[in-house]
Amino acid sequence: MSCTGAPNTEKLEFYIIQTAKGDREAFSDLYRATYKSVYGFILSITKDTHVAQDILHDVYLKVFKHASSYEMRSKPLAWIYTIARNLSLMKMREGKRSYENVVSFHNEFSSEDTAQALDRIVLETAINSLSSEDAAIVMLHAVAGFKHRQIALIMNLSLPAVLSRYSRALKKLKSIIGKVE
Amino acid sequence: MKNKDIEKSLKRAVDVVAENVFTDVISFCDESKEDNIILMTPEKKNKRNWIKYAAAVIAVALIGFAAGIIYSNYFNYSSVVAIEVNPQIELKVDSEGKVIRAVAKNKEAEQVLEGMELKNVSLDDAAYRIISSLAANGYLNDMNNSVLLSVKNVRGGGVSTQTLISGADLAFTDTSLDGAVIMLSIDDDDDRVDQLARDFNISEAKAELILQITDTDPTQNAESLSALSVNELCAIYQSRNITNTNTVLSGSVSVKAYIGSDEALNIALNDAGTVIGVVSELDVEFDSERGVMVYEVEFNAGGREYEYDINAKTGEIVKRNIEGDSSSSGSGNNGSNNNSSDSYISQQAALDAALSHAGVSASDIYDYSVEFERENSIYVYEIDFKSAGYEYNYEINAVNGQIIKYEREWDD
Repeated sequence: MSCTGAPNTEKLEFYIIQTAKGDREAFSDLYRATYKSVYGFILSITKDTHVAQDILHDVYLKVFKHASSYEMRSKPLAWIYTIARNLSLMKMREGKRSYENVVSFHNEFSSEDTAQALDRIVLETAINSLSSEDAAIVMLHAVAGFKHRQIALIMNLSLPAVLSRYSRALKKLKSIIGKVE
Repeated sequence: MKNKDIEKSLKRAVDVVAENVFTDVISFCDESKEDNIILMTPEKKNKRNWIKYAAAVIAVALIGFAAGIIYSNYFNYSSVVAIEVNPQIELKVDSEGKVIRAVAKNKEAEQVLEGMELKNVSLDDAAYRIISSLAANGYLNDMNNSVLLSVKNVRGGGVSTQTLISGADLAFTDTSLDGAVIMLSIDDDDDRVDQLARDFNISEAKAELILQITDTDPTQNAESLSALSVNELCAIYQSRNITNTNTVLSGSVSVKAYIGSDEALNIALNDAGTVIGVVSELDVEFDSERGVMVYEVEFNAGGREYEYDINAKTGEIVKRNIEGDSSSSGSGNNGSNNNSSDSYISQQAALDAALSHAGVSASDIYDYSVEFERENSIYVYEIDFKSAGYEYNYEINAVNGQIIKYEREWDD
């Protein structure tokens, strides 16, 4: 069974190498293949959509600038995640407050219809009611399309732990959203 | 709300918030050097430094403007033409059919494009040069003679597919290659193509071709097809006589790497212990089984329906399915055919063994499938089903009912 959803390592490495040569097309491919999972990951740390978008922006500027320092045979996604994690933590220190306790959702959905409102509520609930780690597991699976075993590798957890935490997190979300609906 | 709904909802919500960031990133990257990035966020908000600050703001605005111009030129193509064998090349083409730039989409393509200047070259000439280089680099030959061409018109572009085919034909003539081309038009708005390409990490052209095959024959497995080479996919397309108004097959796809449909048929007939004269409903086609090219041989004989998958290169029987025998129903030993399936346990017995091992009752399962296959020289039932959020996969020895392999994973 092949892994679907998550982008493949060889392709990402190729994009990074090309990006280092200034190939914007490859950079665009790299961005498109990864930004959703990276955004979800940042959002799970910062819990603020505006801050997360700023950081996302900075992460890819860094990726573009430092693509030449990427070392082959390491893991391309892990490399991008490291940059994302560092920038998120730095931003939190800069703000001198913990985003853990600050819930800030901005209205990105201008002229929001009912379906969009529900999507936003689900996202808010996921970010606000779950621990950062559980939110990251849910985002990586639901948004980025990673298999549970891939998430286990990325987050350095056992597969059973990821499976049970994912299942508990979704149960929790369902019960909260059920009350809202 | 179900789990799937929550997952979809999250996905949609993030799509809305994250899509707009890219335009910002790419326009800054076009001009970005260390300094510019620092200018974006002045370090100190010192009021006395307002002149410096204002200068920085103006600088950013100017850079943004310049980047905007570069951005619009760079992305101002009206068609995307893809040329794929194993090397994958993309040409961004302007409204006059001239190449704006050529992009190598994998390592092999870099080698093919090396030293080639394609900017402002007309499309037929570009196709000619690239296909000649593909042949010169050994990617096209007698066994592997197919090129997948595709055109996706964006922003009102209208590239003539005939131009591309004539460029390709000329390259075949000049390199003395008996080549074949499949020419596809890709609809920019077709989400299915985009999704399939992402799911299996393949090009949009391959995804489009696979969709045409699976649309004609829904029993085809997209995942298995996605593992095939361009030539293999083209061979399947050709053998199935698919007609699609947006697709042109020019030339004849090479099948020299394979044993041939006659040989595949003989292998199947021998195995079934029958001869060509007594069979009916005979059909032999190319197919894929877990990413391997096979001949699918189907026929009826002696009241039974036979379906074989024969490895197209080695002639090995990789799958055998025999159904319907009014006299013995698979458990007796009185078959007049020399048919070894009589000594196998029934499908139901195999399923019962799997269910009892999984501790799941038959009424609780869904998405159930069973296949009779040969693996590592033994015949097995491969049973897949889902229950209570888990996906189960069993391989049961078809002779003694033993569980050979067992997998259970969270159904995602």
